[in-house]
Amino acid sequence: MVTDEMIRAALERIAERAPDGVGLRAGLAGRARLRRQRRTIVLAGGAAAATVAAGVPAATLWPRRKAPAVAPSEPAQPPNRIPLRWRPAWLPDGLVELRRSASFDDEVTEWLRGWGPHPTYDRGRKGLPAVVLWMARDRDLPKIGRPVSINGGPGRIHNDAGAPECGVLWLGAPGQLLTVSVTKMPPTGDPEEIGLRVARSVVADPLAVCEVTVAFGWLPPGYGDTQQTFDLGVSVKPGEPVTPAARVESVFLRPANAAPAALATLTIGVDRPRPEGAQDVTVRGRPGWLVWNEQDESVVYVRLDDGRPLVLTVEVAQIHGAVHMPLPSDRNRRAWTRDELLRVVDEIRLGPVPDLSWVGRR
Amino acid sequence: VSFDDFVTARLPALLRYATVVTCDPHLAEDIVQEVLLRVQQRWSRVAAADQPEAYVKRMVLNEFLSWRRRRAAREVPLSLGRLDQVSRATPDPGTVVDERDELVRHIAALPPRQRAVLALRYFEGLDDAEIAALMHCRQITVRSHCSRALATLRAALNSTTTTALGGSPWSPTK
Repeated sequence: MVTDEMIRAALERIAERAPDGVGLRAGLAGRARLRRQRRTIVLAGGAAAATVAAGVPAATLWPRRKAPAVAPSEPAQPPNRIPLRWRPAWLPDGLVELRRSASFDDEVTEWLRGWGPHPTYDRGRKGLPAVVLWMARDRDLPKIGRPVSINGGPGRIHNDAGAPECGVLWLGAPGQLLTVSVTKMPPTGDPEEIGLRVARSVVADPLAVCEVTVAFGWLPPGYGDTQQTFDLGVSVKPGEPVTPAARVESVFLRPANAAPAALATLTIGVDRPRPEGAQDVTVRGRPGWLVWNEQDESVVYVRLDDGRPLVLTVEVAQIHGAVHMPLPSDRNRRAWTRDELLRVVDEIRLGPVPDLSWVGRR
Repeated sequence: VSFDDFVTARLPALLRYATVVTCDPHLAEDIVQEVLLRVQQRWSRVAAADQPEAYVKRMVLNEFLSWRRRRAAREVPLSLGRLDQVSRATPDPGTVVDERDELVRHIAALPPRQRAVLALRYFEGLDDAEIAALMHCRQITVRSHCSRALATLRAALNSTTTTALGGSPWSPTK
């Protein structure tokens, strides 16, 4: 017998597979954001500020290439350690940190930390962590939901009636919007009560950083002004130890002026089966395969020296699933060529093994 | 409320809603992205609606149903059962637990409009009149979709139980 409750429970279970929207948010935000200053100037300032804040010597920053004379095709390089600045001092029992993420275009604009019930990270399913602390720069407190007090200051809380989800927003500092999202609570708990308690416990965290260990080098023309979101986690089964080899690094790439005209996603650490029709290629000096499709998704795959799989996918928006909006710029109207795909992968910059000691800890 | 504020507050809920309607997290993300891009371009009009979120959810639903129509012309339809006959699924440790949830699987295999009705009734808590308005159809059509969906789920669950007891090599309980 199929009861209403069984159907509701099954639908809730499907909802738990919802993507986290990090890449989606980055793409949307990139379109809306004004270009505040010229890229080169702000890059230097942003990198220096981040360096000072993180206590990192300038020499450890990614080396910059000489900028081309025209049509820069090299994205802004982020600092390699992005301070996350905040942490919750209280979390429900059993939750541990699983993800750290940062978005940047010509400067760092957003950060994200996620906690869940065990140290697993399934990039394929992209399930939401139970508690997310999201931080965004240059934002005011939105007038949504209802007002609440967060440690004496104004905040807002919103929730979905009947859904295990709520969000608490407040300004941690002028222009620095903090959001605690509670998406599901294992095993029990009132999301609103938990969201408020987590939010009210948030304190400055001078130590936490998101280490950016992968970066695009060369990109096709039109990608000089691009927003990127770097995401770091691990792919381990419950109970398995977290090792550096289990790390999963992703970079979502969105041309800020045409998002999501061409969406490039680089993922290292999640395998991908070779599809029928893939061509053998040599990339980064190693054997790999390529699927080049001007009208659909293109993929480059190669195993790195350390054995981890690197996968670059590029999708052309207007023929990808539901996305069919007209593109505002001719320069992004075409797919990347086969040679461009290979050159992008050849020039991806791999950084040192990141510190993963935070994975699985509160 | 600005568009950014709306996205900040409502993106998780929209993605959950779209995932339930589509039963496909990746498609859900695509559809929400497409819809939000259009919403962004005409935010002032959307924000002026009585319930902007309901307006956006309606766009998500319409996008899904129209996407199905567009996609159907290019796809060879294969049911889960037919896929099982063609090739055994590659074991995925991460999905073992989910695969055991028969009801989830059978909901995912329902025709899109039937699944949409279930999602709107049981996940969104809407009544027949509200669902009919969202789907641009009559209430009797909503009730018909719902009763067919429930009948399919009942039959599928009974069939699964029988198959599992019979020891089919494709049974997820093996």
